[in-house]
Amino acid sequence: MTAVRNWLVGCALALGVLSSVAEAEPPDGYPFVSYDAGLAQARQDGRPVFLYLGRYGCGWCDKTNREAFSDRKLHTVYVRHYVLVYVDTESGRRLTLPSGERITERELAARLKVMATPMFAYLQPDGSEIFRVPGIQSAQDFFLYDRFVSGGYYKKESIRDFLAHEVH
Amino acid sequence: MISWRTKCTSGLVAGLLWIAGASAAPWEFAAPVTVAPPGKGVFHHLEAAGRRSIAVTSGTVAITWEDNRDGTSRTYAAFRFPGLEGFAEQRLSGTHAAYEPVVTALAGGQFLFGWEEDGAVWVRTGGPDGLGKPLRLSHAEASQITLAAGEAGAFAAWAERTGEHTAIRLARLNPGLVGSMPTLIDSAVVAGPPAQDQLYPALAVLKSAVVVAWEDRRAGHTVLLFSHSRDGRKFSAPRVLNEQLPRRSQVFGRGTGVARVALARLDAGRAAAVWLDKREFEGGYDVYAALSDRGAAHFGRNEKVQDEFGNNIGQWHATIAAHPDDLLAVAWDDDRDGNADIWLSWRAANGWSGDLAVPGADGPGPDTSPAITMDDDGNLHLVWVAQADANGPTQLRYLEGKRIMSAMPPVPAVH
Repeated sequence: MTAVRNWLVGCALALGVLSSVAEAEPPDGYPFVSYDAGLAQARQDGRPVFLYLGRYGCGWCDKTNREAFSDRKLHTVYVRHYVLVYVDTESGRRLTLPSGERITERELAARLKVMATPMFAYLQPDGSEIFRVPGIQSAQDFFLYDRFVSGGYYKKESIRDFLAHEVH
Repeated sequence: MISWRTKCTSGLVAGLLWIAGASAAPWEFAAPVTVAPPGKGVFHHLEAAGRRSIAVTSGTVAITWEDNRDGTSRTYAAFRFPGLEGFAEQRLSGTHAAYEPVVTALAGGQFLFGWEEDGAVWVRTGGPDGLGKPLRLSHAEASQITLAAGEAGAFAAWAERTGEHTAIRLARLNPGLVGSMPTLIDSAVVAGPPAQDQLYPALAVLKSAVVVAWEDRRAGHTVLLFSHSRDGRKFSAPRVLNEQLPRRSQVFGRGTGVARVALARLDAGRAAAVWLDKREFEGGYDVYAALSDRGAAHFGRNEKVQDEFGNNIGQWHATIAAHPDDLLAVAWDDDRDGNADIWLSWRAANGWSGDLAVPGADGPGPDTSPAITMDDDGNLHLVWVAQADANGPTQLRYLEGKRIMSAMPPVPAVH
C-alpha cells in the first residue's frame, strides 16, 4: 500500500499536480495511477481504462478491495488488460478531461453523477465511456465485465444484454 | 414570475405542504445577466473553499472565478456598480496557472481576494477602480484558500503542507488602503500537527471571534471539525460538526462521507454551516446545515435542508448566505428534473422551506456550481455556471433576488 501511495505521489509531482490532497484508497498491489497519467498511458498503449471511483473510508470500497481485488487471477487479468485509474470522489486533486478542461476529482464525481461508491467505469483509450457499474462487486462480476470489454462484446450489445445471456 | 415545480412521486399532502412552504419566498428574482460570456474551448469554474465566489459591499457586487481563455487557468474578478447591469472585469492572478479564487467584502466598496497560484496562496485588495499588489501568504505548498472579514478583522484560512499532511492555517490580515499590498499580522495552525490531511476550510467572522471549519481525515474517513478563536492565534479544541452515525460495518470502511463545508455569519454572535453529507448513502450527497449558539462555541443538531423531492438524487455545490434579520438561505444544484438546476431553500417558521428552482437559473441546459451572498438589506445575490447544453461552452450568470419580506421568523436558539 505504501509503495502504491508513494508511486501515486511521485506521479502527481512529476505532472506538476498539487499534491496537497488526501491519499486515495485503491486496492493493495494494483498499479492504480491518477486520471491524467492513466488516460495518457491508455492513449499511448491503446488499452482501455478501468476507472475506480472510490471514497476515503468507504465501506463498500473496502469490502470490494478485500474480497474481489484480492483474487490473484483478477489481478493478473486486470493489470494485463487495463490501465488502472483511481479517483477519490471527495478529493481536490486536479485532472484534465479529454476536452482539455481542468477539474478536480470531486468535480468529476459530480459530472459522472456518482451517487454511491464504489463505482467502476470502463473507458475506451480515448476516454469515452463503455459502461459503468456501481456498488460492491465480486471477482466473478469483474471477470464478466472484462469479457464484455476485452472480448469486444460492447461493440455490438449492451452490458445488460450481455449479462442476460452470460449469466443465464 | 416564479415557476414552481412539483413532482408526482409523493402524496398530495406532502405536495401541498411543499407548495405552502415554498410560496413564502422572501425574494423576488430579477432576470439574470451574463458575467463572463461563453467562448470556444473556454471553461469557467466557480470553485472556492467555503464557496466564497461572490461578495457585496456598498451596493457593489464582486464575483471571482477561474477560466482558461488564454490557454492557462487564471483567476478573474468582475465588478458591478450599484444600479448598473453589466460587469467590469480584471485579472487577479499572475503568470502561473491559478485556481479556486475567493472574495470577501471590506468596508467602503472594497474587497479582499484570494487564490492559489504556483503552489501557494495569495491575497490582494481591490475594487472597480483597480487592484492592489498581491501578497503571498503561504511558505509551504498550499491551496484551498478562503476569506472572511468583520468586526474582529480580516482573516484567511487555507490548507498548507506540514510534513506529510496538510494542516489548516489561519492568518489575520490588514487589508491595507486602496491600491496597497495587504499585510500579514500573524498566522497559526488551527489544529496541528496533522496526523492526516485537513482540507477545504470555511470561515465566518463574528463580532468578537472567528470560526473556522474544515474537512479532517484523521478518523479514517472525512469528518467536519470546527474551532473558534478570539485573536486568531489561540483556538478552541476542535469539535465535530457533522453528527456521527453508528457505523454500518465494524469490519469494512471507517465511516460515511462528507464534503465541502461553507459558513455564513448569521449575526454578530452566530454562524451557520452547510455541507454535503453522505450519511444516507444510497441517495448520493444530501445538503445538511447546522446553526451555532451565541459565540459559536457549539453548533446545534444537523438539519437536512433539501426537501423530499431531492432525497433520491445527489446534491452538489452547497452554498450559504445569511442576514441578521434571521434570513438564512442555502443553494445548491441537482438534476431532479433530469437536468441540473440551481435550487434554493431558506429558513422558515417550521424549518427549511420547500425547494425552489431559482427562476432564471433553471430550465434547459445545466445550471451548476452556485455561490450566494446577501447584502446589508437582505437582498440575495447568486452567481452560477450555465450551459446551453451539457456539451456546450460554459458561461457565468448572475441574478439578484430583491428582498420582499421584511420580517422572518426567528432562527431558533441552539441548545
